[in-house]
Amino acid sequence: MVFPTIHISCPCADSISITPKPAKKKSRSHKAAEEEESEEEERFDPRSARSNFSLFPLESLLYCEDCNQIRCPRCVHDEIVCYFCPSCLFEVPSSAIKSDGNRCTRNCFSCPICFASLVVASTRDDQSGPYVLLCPHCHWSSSEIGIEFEKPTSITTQLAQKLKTVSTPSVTPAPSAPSDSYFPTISITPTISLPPNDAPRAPPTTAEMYQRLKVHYASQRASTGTDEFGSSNALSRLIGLYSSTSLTVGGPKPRSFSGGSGISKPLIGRDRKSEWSEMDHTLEIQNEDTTIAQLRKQGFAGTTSTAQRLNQGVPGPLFTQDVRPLAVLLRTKRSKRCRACRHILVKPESKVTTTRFRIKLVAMNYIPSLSISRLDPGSVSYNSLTPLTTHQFLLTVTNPLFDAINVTLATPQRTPGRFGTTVTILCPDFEVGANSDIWDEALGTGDAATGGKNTRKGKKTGNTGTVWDAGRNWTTVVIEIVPPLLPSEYTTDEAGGKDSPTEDDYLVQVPVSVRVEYETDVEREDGLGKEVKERREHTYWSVLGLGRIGKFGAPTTPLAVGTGGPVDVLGALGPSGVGLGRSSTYNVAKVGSSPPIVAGMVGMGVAGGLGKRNLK
Amino acid sequence: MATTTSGNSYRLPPRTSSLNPPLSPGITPARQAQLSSSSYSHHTEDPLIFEIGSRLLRAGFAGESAPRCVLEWSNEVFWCREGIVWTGGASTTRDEDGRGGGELWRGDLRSVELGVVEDVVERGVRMAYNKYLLLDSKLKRVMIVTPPLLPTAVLTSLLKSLFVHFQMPGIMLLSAPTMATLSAGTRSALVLDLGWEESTATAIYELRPVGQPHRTRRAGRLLRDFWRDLLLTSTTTSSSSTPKKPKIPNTQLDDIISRLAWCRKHTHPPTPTADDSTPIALPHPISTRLPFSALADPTEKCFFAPTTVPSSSPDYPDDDDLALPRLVYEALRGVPVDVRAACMQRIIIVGGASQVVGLKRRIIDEVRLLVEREGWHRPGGRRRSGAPQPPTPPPPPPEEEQGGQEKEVSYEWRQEDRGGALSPGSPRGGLEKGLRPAGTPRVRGLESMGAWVGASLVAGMKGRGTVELEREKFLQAVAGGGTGLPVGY
Ligand SMILES: [Zn+2]
Ligand SMILES: [Zn+2]
Ligand SMILES: [Zn+2]
Ligand SMILES: [Zn+2]
Repeated sequence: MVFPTIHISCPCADSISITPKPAKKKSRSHKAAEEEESEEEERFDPRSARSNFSLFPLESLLYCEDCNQIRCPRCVHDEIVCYFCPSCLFEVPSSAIKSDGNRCTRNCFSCPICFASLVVASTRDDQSGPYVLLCPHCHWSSSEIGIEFEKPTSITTQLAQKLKTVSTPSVTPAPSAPSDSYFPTISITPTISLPPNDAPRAPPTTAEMYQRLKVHYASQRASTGTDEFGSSNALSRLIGLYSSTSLTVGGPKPRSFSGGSGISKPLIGRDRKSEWSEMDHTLEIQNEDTTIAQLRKQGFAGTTSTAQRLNQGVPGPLFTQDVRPLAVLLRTKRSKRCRACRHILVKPESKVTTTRFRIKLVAMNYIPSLSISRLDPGSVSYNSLTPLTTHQFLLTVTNPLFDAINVTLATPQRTPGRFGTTVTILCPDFEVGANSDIWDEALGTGDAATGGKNTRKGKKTGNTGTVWDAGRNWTTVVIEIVPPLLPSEYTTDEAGGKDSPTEDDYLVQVPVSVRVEYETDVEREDGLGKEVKERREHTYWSVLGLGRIGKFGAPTTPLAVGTGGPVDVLGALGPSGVGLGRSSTYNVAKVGSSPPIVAGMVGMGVAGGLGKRNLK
Repeated sequence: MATTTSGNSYRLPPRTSSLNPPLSPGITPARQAQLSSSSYSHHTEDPLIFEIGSRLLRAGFAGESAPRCVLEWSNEVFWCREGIVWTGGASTTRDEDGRGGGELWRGDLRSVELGVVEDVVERGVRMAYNKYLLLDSKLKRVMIVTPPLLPTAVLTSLLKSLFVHFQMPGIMLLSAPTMATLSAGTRSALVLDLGWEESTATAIYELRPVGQPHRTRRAGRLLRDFWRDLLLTSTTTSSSSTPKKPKIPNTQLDDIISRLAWCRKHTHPPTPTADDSTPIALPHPISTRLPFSALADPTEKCFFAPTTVPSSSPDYPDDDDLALPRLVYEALRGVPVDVRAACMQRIIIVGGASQVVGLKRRIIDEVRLLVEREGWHRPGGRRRSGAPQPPTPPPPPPEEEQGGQEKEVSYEWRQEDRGGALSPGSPRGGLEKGLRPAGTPRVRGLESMGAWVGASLVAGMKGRGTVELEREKFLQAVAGGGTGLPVGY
């Protein structure tokens, strides 16, 4: 995993969720719900099972101006603007897409083995025919399944014809059922490889079998007539049967055949003539000796992987010799609307070949973005943070708005979870300058004055209560963490059971609440008078993935090496602190029993020690 | 419609009043576009069909012969945080020791976070919408097919996710065994569903389930456990110098099973299989060769051995987890005689593990043998026909029995079944002759196109279900703490 990671929580999960919380009133007023929400905003657990589904990188988020709220892929509504082939970039009219299986009908095919785009290639040196579909990536060729083309154009038509007549053992000709034409040759038992001449009758293909069933039920429906509700007796009977417990809805019902009136009387007793009959050509389960023989011969390498099989349609072929090149799946361009207020958030240009948007309200333009870098020397990897040692990071908040913002960061002192990491943000409350025009700044006009002030403010001192650095529209503060010592580091007992840390416990995930307040000029909608100042605020949760906890006392001693590192921290810790960092024979059980005290010392040390530090 | 509908169920946290920030000037008029209801497209009328199992999602359009896509819930993208490659199994509901994992829900609801079920279903259905069905958020009629014995709480979660995230006005529920029967072209069948956590045998008579499904834990997950054992023991013996066994990820194990698992033919009396020592190379990290015959061992142990646990008396059968042929036999024995007569010659085998090559035929052959050998009498009792029936299940009311018999007359028995002919090669000792009254149908397996196709056929006939859930009512009921499902679920 690559660190650091920064995610933002879309609150829609809370507002969508209608699961009644236990120990709460069943029906609650909106006000009560709102209070609950504000309660919940005080904590956020990035380890909770559902957090993966509400956390997004800032780039994936949109913003609704009317709701003043971020919008994630789950809380927007999509509308398709157009359909196109990602390979040839042709737009496909919506009337044609479904019958073609949502696939390109031009000459675009994907490799059945590695899914890359296939190219039409000549089999001769002089570029003459016959031609094949060739994968430039894995070198699969349609000749491997016995398919070559006379001309390099109209591949789709040629392929359809070839697949009808091709006589690889396990493929049987498919009827041309229009709606099924996109998986033309997948037979219902593609793995039965009977030599064509020996088999009296090839097993029917999926499409054939389906057609038979369809015809059968259509005739049944016609012959049984309809009841007073306009639907077939037998049909309504047949669909009314959900559940494994003989349920019919809308009346007293048996839970099983024997549990009451048995098979619902009115249905079976009534109108015997309208009973359905069985289809004439039901298919008996065959033995699969030939497939087994084939499997023995082909081995693992000759079979399709799950991904390849699923990609080939239903049912997919077991053997790679039975795969088919498939036409490329079409894609769509979509507009997106806010699910709450229906306002449009994204509207792409309808032309396929342009990637521009007419409207795109990305969250990056509305809420400050966070970024993380290491203040510690680079000798410590994000993937092995040393337990019980202070690690410092620089957290930079960048303001996209044209107004200066006040930011308040809040984080729990200890991250949630069994093995919490101690977290301190040295300056949680600060201002970030406006995203004024860069020329304004250069010319010394407008908001540049504010920006200049900010720049002067950053002294890189690392004192508690002061920012580390600041620029035109960004401010950097120091965030410190002390990762815990995980039990497996001192228990030799592998069967630690529930006490042994999970992979999750190794990750340092810091929830940070970001509260933004600012005043902005609002043009009055009546067009009269001057601009009005309006005060705004919003708060969102962010999760910083700062790294993975490594070994205690690992060879790369984190703090003493490097120049300009926070050596002072060690000094402030005193001799025992140094011992902590270095000794491999340390009595670990003692440390394990009292990490909070150690952490506290580290925190104190930092506050005092960093003050002395002065980079350049 | 949409504005009011979404307003009811989807509340936003209170925020400051909405005015436009100074950014992106000039776009306000453009945003006031028309609501989507005006743009009903050509295929809005076709219902969508989702078959949702604990391992797979099948999605497609009604009236087609196959789903447009089959997605595996084990796919990491359904579980991980967006924007990172989550290398550990962190923050998912999977077992870390490798037993289990990759399923959407479990039968043991204590280990299921239902909220996560909702979240994952949303991702799966969205992938189907965006990548394969090419649909947007327009209103859709939807049918969902669910497996037998689906826990009510899970069903509620599935429905909630669909209603909340995809704005479906109504959802029709269909049961998988009934649909599998339909797509075999018949009305009655014994449907053996080889699921993930358990296999179920459900008798379907006249498209109606009869009694409770019989169940056993001999199913996909147990098969995977046996395969893991097979591969781990094979690697230890091949390289005994390295004490550390390779860890085989579940997804890789699933893949290997889907490619190499096969089932031996039934032999009677059981004979040691012809030693098929053709070496089959296995991929990294197993990197060993196994004789072809060994690849059928897990199938044997999982589905046919009397017991699946290490035992000092390996021939003594498990009480709860019957071997598959025995499960089918018991399911048939537990239903009234006319139902049995209809079902025994229409045994349908569906579900993930039914893909194991040769397995379906083997089960049918063994069920046939059981019926030949044991008839339908109970141990210590008399033969079933004519005898008073044991308490489970009690005989159906007389009028029902009558109805069934009358029907049987009109039922198109297949010609060869009338004569009670046996398939060639079926062992038939003189002992059993008396147990088979003339006209008793033979045991026979039927191929089915599966539950998804059954639903597709139903929808193609423009059927309207009687179990149809409406969005608003459902969500209100769920918000009130209920299941949202009709009484009786
Ligand atoms: Zn959201
Ligand atoms: Zn194309
Ligand atoms: Zn390729
Ligand atoms: Zn909105």
